[in-house]
Amino acid sequence: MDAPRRDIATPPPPLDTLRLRETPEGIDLGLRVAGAVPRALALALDLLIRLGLYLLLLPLLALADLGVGLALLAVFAIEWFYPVVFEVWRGATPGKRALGLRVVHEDATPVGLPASTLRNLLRTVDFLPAGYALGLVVSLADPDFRRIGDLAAATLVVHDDRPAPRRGPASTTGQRPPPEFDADTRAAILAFAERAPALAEARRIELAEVLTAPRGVRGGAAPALITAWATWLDRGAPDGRAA
Amino acid sequence: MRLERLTAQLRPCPAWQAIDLGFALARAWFPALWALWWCTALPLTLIVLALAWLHSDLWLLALWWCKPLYEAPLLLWASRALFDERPRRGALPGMLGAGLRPRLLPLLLWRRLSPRRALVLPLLLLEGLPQRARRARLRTLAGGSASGWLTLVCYHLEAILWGGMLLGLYLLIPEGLPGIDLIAALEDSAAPAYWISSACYLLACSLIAPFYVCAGFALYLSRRTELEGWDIELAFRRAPPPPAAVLPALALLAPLLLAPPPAEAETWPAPEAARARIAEVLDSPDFGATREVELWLPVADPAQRSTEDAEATWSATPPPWLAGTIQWGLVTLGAIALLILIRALWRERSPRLPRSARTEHEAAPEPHSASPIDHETEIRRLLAADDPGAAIGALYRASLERLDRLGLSLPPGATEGSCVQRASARLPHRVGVPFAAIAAARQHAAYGDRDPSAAHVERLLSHWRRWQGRTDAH
Repeated sequence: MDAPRRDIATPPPPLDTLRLRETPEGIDLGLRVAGAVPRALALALDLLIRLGLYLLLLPLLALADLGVGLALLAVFAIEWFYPVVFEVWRGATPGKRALGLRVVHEDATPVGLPASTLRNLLRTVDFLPAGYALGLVVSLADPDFRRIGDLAAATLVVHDDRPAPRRGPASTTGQRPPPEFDADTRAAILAFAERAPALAEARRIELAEVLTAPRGVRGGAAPALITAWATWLDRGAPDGRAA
Repeated sequence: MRLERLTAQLRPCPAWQAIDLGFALARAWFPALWALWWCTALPLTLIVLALAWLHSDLWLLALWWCKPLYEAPLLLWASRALFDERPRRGALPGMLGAGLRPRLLPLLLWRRLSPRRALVLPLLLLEGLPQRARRARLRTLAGGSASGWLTLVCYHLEAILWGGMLLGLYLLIPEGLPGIDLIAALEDSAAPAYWISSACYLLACSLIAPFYVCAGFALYLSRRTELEGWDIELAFRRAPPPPAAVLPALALLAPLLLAPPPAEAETWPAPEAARARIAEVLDSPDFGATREVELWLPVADPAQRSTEDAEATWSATPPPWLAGTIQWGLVTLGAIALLILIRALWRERSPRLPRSARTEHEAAPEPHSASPIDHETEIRRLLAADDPGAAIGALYRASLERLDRLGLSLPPGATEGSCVQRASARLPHRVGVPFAAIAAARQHAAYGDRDPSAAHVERLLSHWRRWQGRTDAH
């Protein structure tokens, strides 16, 4: 977790959509709050899915009054319990899952039945006066993109973290990086090693020289040196200590 | 470009998260961006209004088509603010002209309807490449970005805001005042409602524009961060410098010296010293503290119990027979309670009703039910008072009492008819007949309002007296 380094002279922390929540073990969990665009698309997808479910109810209408009654009950259940059931059961409705979103409490725990019920009951307020206009305005004005239901239920809609593919173990032992590098720099060294293949050759050297030029390495050797450092960090020190 | 002064946290991320970062930027800079939008849009609005007078649909279409003109200054402002250089007021005229640069012309012509408009704008405005390079650059930048979805969703957000405002106005105007004709607001371009609707749409555009521009800008930034490693460069620039003691000459040799794995180069403390150090660290309050808690636990070991009893300060122990006495007393009480319960249950089950319940169906027979003689005097007194109705009632009650004494159980509230039915069913015929006559007379008096004659009552009374004599013998 690359926390911004601050001292008194520096300006306020940079704008970001990452919110950190500290667990009792002292570990910061990062939540990437989701804004209006992915949420609107998820809502539209859920609307389509519900529409499909309603189409499945059409044969019920053949049963005259009984069918109409049953269909109305089913419409009520789908309209009100579809989001609640999916949020409590799977963490997100199918539309949100398709967009990689998830609903959580503000402290990053999975959303429970009371909070989910509350935030979905208040959809009626967010809907006013038409098409979720009020919810849109509130969501644009809130720093965490929460609509009224989220504010009342203390929930957040966040981007789900998909586990990144890990690099395979390196064959070489690598090279120990200088001891003065702090955690941020080590994380950047690892990131460089992962993303170097996607960078242009000239840019790769230019980037590597930022770190290695003060240590006297320039040119094509610079990216190789940083990759060697990254290999050493990735394998962990030989005595088992975490790098 | 001074990456150290970035006011946003840039990192390679999926397109949706980049769009969200753009929305966060727009939210932070909203007042300035919104004002800037109107600075360009308002003069144009008035000019077009003068040109397309009385044609509100043309007016709105022209303003809508010119959107890139108002969006370019927003992007220029945002690109400066991103590097912590907010433009001063003096720079305003230059910024407002940003939309008029010739290289933005494609945006007003064939690129106006492109779904990637938000991404094309930073490319045209900030990079200024020749056309061929520009096309290749756009292909590179647009890879994996969701700029088409961004444009689609933002049009819908504008529509939602416009509809919300229009419907809100329509619903909130009190009855009696001239309201808004919603049909005309959508269809009749000459109606005043259409002008209101157009103004609402313009306002919605102005509200969404900062978010749209910043989201496109953030998509552009995120893609460049990914392609050029901006975040890595920033972290490398912030890395601690090499120690001052290392001279440049030594630094040149450093990679060669460090080439073998240097694990053995470190010196480790002696195990005893390390253990002492570990114990010292573990003693600190961060690793927990001791505290005293008092609680009661059962004593399992009898030996321990006797010693503790001996240590107890009690002067008098209770006599050993006390516990036995109390125990037997409790058992006896329990047995009595059980008996009472069984008796109560038995009574509950038995069909016999308590005496008070059996006589409930007659109002107050008690004071007059002392003896047959009393009944007779009472009846004669009522007859003398010329009240044969009351007299036959008293006779009926006396008969009921008689039946009760004969062992005929009558439910509370039984009617005269059911009393007669029971009497004839349970009693021998000659016993039942006089009662049936008395009950019939009583029914006529009570419900038919036909009082029997005094002679009839006399006759029934004599029957009853005989009947009583018979049943006594019986």
